[in-house]
Amino acid sequence: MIWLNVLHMNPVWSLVVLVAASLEYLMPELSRPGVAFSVTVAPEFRCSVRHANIVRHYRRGILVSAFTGLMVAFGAAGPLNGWAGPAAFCAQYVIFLLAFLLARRVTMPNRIAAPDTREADLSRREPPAVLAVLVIAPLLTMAAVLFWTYSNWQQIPDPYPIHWGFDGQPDLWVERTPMHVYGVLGLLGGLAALLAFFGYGFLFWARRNVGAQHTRYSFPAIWIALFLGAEYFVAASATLPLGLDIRPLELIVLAILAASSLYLIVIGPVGGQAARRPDDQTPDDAWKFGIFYFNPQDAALFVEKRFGLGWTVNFGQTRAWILIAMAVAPLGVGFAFVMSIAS
Amino acid sequence: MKAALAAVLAVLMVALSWSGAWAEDRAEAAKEATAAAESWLKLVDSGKFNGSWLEASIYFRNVTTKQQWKQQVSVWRTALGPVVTRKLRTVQYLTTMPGAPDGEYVLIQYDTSFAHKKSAVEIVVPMMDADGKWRVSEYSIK
Amino acid sequence: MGTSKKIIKIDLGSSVPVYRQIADQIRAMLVAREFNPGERLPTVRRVAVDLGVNHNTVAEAYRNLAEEGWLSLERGRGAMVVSRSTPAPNPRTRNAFSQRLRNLIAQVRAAGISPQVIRSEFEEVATALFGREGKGSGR
Repeated sequence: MIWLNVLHMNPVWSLVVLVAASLEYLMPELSRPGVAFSVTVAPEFRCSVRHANIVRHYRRGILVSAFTGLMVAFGAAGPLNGWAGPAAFCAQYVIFLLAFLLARRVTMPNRIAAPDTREADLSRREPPAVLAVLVIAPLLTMAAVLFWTYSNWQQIPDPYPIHWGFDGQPDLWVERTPMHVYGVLGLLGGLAALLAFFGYGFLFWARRNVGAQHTRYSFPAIWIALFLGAEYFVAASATLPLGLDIRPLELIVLAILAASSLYLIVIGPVGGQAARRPDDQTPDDAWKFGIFYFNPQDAALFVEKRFGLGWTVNFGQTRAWILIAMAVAPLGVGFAFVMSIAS
Repeated sequence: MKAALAAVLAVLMVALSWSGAWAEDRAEAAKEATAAAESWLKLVDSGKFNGSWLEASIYFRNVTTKQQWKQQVSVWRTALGPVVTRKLRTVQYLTTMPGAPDGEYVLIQYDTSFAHKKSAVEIVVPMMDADGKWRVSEYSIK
Repeated sequence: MGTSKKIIKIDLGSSVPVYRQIADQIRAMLVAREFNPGERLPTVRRVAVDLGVNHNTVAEAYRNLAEEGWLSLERGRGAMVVSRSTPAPNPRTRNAFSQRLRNLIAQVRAAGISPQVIRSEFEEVATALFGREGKGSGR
């Protein structure tokens, strides 16, 4: 097992657990007025005592999930070593899911039929094509890095750096083999491709609800900016082994990501309440477990999440599976690399 | 808004054109430490256990006597047999090691095949000694 | 033009096929000159995604409007609004219109809507669609 400094990594994972739990805590307020825990309800139900009780119990579950996550992150560091962090994240997420499913079940008796009406605004223009270029550009730079690596193999550092500390200095190297070098590029490339898929999908393939979930235009823009920012960060990281100091760029991107996240959290509760339509124009029976949207009859590749921020994939579209597989394939190569250097 | 965007772009350009530190210092250190580890391993492989103790770091020699070291490594190497192949797996730069004083360490793992054990992992940890040289402070086989 | 919303609404539970609902509403907008000749309508894909229906449904609506002479369909570029010359009035169309109007009025009267309300709705819709055009003509 790669020896990971517990004191170094676990605060990071603990922060991730806390941020996730905080967002999940806020989530009941982020839904449209006519939706509660992914169930279509009368808007009056959202103001009722019954709903307040359900939310209270749900939030208790979230607090338990956060506590459990932190316990695993630090308490299991011994037996699990470097995997304690990811285990903590998984533990927190599983308990959140249970809390959500229970709240959804309890909300079900208050369900009303989802409206059959749909609206579209024909005056809205498509996003400018330059945004498509912005989304795809990092993938092209990564392809360039891949090509350069292949053509200049001897110039790749040996051993090959694969991890950097917070001081921007590399602190983990592996033997310079094709599996290692292309494995890292596969990992980063797959991640960037997935982020690009989401970024492009949110821009061009997502349902634009009239009087959207967050009526301020800025919400979709910030949400997409988050994904693009992450994509640029990942693509920039692919140049690290070549010796460039990209810390200033990474700091700027991180600052933008942090500011965007804070902004989303601030406008979230306001946005959900201000939605023009109480429902989200999707049929109830297309939502599996209240989380997965499966509707082959719906041309949208992305629809508004019923519970949470942003959009979710329409798994009823074959295109969705193909595009995700194309993005995940390089990740598989990266995963093989990670397994080859971990015991 | 446009002024803010222009300012951000300007900062970006300056940051990118900043020649800044190529991340060579740490990489150089890792290379030197790896070289020290490999020449030390040559001593152990050729049975020069005394020599390997003498070439180890001050910390190593304070914690383990020459006799203890010879005894321990003889038992290991007799049981495992000579080295057949040794391949570098990972090199990790650290500033702390459990149970050891703070300092500069490089934790190196090798995938090693011995005559009597097909697959094992050797862990060699050179540290930066007071005289600025990298010397092995820890050695173990998994 | 431009900044005002052009919202179409469909009812998936209605007995009227969805493609016809879409075509009817876009036609109403075209008649009311909310789209000018030379303007492009959103693509079939975009309307289908925003309404949450199948591509073919919207494509059928666009095809119908193209056959009536409202749109020009270009593969890969979407639908463009074209100048449409008003066809010669057809007595059969007029008779069918009168009959449908009578039926519609009877339905809403039976549902309890008063004649005053019906009349004011007619005036409102006519004004919105035609403005001053067509007042006093067509008899």
